[in-house]
Amino acid sequence: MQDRPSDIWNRDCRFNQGEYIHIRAPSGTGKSTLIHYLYRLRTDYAGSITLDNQDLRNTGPARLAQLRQRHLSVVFQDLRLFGELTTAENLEVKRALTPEIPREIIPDYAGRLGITEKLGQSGNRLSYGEQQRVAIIRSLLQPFDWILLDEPFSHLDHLNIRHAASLIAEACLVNKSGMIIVDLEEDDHFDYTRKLML
Amino acid sequence: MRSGQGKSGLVFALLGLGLGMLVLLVAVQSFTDIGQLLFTPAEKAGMESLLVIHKAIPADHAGHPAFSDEEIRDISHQSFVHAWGPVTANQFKVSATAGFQTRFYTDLFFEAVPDTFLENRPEKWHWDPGDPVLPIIISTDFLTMYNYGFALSQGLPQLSEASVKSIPVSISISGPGGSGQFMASVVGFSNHISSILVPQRFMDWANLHYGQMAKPAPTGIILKVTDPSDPQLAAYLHTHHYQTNADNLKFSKIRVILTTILSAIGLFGICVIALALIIFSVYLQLVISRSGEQIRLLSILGYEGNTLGRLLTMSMVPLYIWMLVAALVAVQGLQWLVRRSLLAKGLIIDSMISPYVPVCLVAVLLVFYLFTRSSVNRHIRAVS
Repeated sequence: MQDRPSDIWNRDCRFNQGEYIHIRAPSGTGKSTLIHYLYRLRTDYAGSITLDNQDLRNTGPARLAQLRQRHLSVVFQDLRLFGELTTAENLEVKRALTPEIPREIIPDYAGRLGITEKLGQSGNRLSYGEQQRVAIIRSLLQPFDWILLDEPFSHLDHLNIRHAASLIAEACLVNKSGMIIVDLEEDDHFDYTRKLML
Repeated sequence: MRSGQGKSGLVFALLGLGLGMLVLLVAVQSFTDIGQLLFTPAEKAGMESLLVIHKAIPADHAGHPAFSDEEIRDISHQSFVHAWGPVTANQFKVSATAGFQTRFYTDLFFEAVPDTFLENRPEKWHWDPGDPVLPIIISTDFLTMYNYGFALSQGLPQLSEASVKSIPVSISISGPGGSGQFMASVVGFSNHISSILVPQRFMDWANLHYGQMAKPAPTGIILKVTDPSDPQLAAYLHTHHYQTNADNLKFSKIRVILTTILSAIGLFGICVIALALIIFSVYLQLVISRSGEQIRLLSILGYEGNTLGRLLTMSMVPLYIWMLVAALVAVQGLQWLVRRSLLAKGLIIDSMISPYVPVCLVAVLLVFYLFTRSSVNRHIRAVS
């Protein structure tokens, strides 16, 4: 990794509130690893990551839960749904953490991404494309300062990408939040403020 | 968390909990029932029992038979003693002659106890200096001994209580302070005190007058106790080498034995409950480790381990409540059955369970709940 020029690894890097940042990352450059570091799923790095001047590494379980409920949202590349829960249940599990998000928003979002008929279907019977749309909706059922997107549209066709991107953009606007998207190729799904190389 | 597997662990744990709880509760209930049946007849009748205690006579006849102030103070401070009074002995010689045709002569002794310790105090139980007749109470044992032992063998007439009361008795008293003659009459009989009692007033007066010692150290102590079978009382008398003639003390041994047996049963119940706790903990660990993936995902979504633990613990609470109701119903049902079968034998116990049973039940469930919570939290921390 160190042989290749990177805007992130082995550098000081600062993301400002409200920035839309695209990080292009060819395979094997640690794309998902970066997302996991930022979401504090992993702490096996040298150096430090701070959020609002607080070291992520030293975040206790209560504060971490708080961060994930109200400040950091994420769409993982491997989607991570509950296979034995229905789509609706998968979404409700997330929404239940922040009661101010109304329940009715779930069918509304599902309708916009064309998975209304899949709400009653269990997670492990959804196609990758459907799972990806569920994961995107789930990431929007909470308030957030940053949304982390790891190849969020990899299983979607152009039309669905347009719908999903506009839904995410709307939510970012409402939350006045920033966005960090990592992907293999460059794209123009959002009005990026910065484009970086991993 | 949905885990259809490992249900047998839960069933075993709950069976164990139920069984252990039942054993423990039945022990607690039996304790109350047996107490009601055996040990507190006096309390049930709303009265107390009287005991007269004396110092045991040592083999070498050494030691003083009277109680010292310190010994009395110690006795009066015991929790089982409701009230106490000194038994005063005469400090002078007494002899009596009685009878109409057949004159009957005997040396005698007197004792006196405070009036409040006399059950069914006779109306004439009063004496002032100068009164013509001295009232006396004798033990019913003495009359029985005379009627069925002495009178039959000596060819003397047998006497009823009423006829004894009508016999005039003349009493002679002599001591360092002089001598005197009194007329006396038996005015009552005592079941509890094996002695010849005179009013305290007379005893004090006569001791001062003839014996030159108004208040000698008491040679016996009369006690009012609510429960003469109290093992504490028996142990106290035993360690201080005091003796008493009360039959009730015999119960104390039975009581100690039964208490020990019931404690052992209760302890067994607690052991079964502890075993159930261990099985339950293993079950929870199994459920949680099977759901490790889901727990990790929930944690990723922003659920805190403690919240998850609380949810899982709370999901057990309805089970506990069912258990509580079932145990109460079972113990109450048993109580009714036992009551019915005892009634046929003429023994009466309460139809309702003892208040200790629900208290004990709630305590056990609370322990179980707290144990579940800490065990769940520990296991969740381990997987997430």
